[in-house]
Amino acid sequence: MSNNSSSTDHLSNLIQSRNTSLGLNLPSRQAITVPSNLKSEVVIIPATSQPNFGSYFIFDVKERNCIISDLVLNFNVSAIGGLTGSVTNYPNFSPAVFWTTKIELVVNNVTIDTLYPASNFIAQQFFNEDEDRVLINDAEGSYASLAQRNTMATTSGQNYYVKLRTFYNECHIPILTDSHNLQIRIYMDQLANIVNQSTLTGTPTATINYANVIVKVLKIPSDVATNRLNLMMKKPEQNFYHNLRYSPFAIQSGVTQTTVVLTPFVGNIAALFFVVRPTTGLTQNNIYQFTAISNFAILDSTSSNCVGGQPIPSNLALYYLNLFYSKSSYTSENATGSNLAGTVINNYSNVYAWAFSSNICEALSHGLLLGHRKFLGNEQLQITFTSSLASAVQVDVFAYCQSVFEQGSSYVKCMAL
Amino acid sequence: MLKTLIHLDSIDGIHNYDTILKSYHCYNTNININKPIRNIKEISLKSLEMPIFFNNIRSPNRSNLFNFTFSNSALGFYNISISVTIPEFNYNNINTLLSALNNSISSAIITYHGVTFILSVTNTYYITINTNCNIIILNDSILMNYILGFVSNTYSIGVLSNLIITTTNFYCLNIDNYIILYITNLNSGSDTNVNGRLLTFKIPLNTITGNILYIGDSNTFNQTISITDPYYILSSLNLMILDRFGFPINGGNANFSFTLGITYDKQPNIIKYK
Repeated sequence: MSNNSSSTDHLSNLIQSRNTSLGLNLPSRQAITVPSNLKSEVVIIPATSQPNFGSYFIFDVKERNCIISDLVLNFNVSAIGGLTGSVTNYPNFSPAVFWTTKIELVVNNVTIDTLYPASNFIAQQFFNEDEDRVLINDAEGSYASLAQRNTMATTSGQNYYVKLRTFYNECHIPILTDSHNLQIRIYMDQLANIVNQSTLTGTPTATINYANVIVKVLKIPSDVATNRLNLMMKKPEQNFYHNLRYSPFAIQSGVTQTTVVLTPFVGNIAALFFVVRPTTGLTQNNIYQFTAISNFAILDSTSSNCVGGQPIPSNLALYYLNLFYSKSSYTSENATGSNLAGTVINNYSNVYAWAFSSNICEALSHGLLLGHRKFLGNEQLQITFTSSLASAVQVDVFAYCQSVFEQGSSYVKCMAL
Repeated sequence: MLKTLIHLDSIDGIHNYDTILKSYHCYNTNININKPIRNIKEISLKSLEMPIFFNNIRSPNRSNLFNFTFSNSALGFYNISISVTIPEFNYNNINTLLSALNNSISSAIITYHGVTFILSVTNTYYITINTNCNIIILNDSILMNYILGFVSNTYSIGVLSNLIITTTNFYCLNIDNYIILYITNLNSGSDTNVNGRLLTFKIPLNTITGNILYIGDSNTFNQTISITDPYYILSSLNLMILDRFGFPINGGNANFSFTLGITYDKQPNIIKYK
């Protein structure tokens, strides 16, 4: 796993000075001063309102004196019913990350970030190493295994866990007062859109028994929290984070090349991700099957190429650029890619990205500003498809925009850079 | 704060593929806005004009579904599940609706010789099921609960006499009191959502099928939502018209138009950083 320590750590101690501030003669790397009663906890918070498919519900995170570092959604659902017949590996649910239409993270009634199913899925696959992806995907129903999802979908009271990538992963924001409370608004998709029934007949039924948000927190001692709140009254705290922007673009059939104006993207963009899917394939198991393109380019307001100088071929993006933009080998899972065993497994992982940041994985992990391009809303994304489109497609573009989260003792604010 | 009006017509939009209805129609449309608006604080529904033509019994919300389980121990039938659908139609007479329902049920139970199950009107406003089954389980559906007025439950009686189940509520053929205008890409329209329903603006239906609905902003019914996302840019509107239960309605090509009032801030919420 990724948290293995290096076997050469001890070598650096030979030349590093030692630290005696804690009353012990310690190597510098061990001399970290933390309050003695700091506690790392996992809190399971039930939904405030009843969760149902095709509607919305909320979680209210009212933990006090803590720092949130990770969020995971938990759905407990009944088995799929209402279908007759027998088809191997059916019925099954789509991976649980696709059960929502969007998720809003709201602090003090200000929407700090909005997450979308495809952006969540891409973040899970891009910003986790392969070994970690196995656990993350299995917990939500793996996109790569109909059999696993069928087993889960036919088990009553099955738990699904969806790991979210949020601004809490980037910046360690404390919850010290009611004004810092987090509300998570979950917009659920219709059940018909997430159940895959193949040729089974009937109308599927399933209910969400309950939902939780699992919050990894660091509990701050009350004296430390009071002190920090007092400081916050005098001077608000700021944190950098990357705000997710999203826009879908509909492309009619019959075209080989299209250029969409990226009007909704204004600000310092660290990275752009986009996927192409047929407009008739935005649900069920089609939802994570992304169409391959021939090449793409990002153009400025004068229609000059501002990335690479030439259109970027699909394979260059999937196999080389994603080496820098992703921690995993996810984008090798397409029609022409092979895994370590030399086996071609086509999971339609055609996710294209361009980062203006020098290290987008690091930037999104720690809220670092490592490069950007200032978008004015007149930049364009030019896509050349592999052939003339037989049917209409939707291009979903996601952008990470450098932003500042400002937190005072009684308010929060987010601003674009 | 600045205010502006934008007039929108679904005829100018691109129809989305409705994954539930498996078709393209104007009640699921994306309309692009030529001049994107930033720093939006509030959005109000100022007026709406819409032809009303849809049926009160529709398949998308399964209001055409009648679902029950019966046992007739005298005839040797136990826990037989029956699920019937009736044709989509604007049923404006209860007897027409019950006739369609009785026809479907009798076709479905024909293989269970000797079993009877008849629905009829009683005391003008109530519906009665008359059956020779000794146990009937009525399952939830919009038709069962909201239109006919039955309470979903298990009903039973001795073997030698007929079972009669009478609704405890009035039947109601016009259950579409209002429909929902849901703008899917607003952050956030959730301020006015109630009971988890996806709802941006509520459109009261004060006319019947075949007429054109017009509603205007009024002092007594002003609908405004606040936008809590400071980054939100209104460059397109993704519209869905849903029924009161949150299910899609097939709008066909019966295009509609409406006007939104936008309150926005001139100053962009952007800071300088070196």
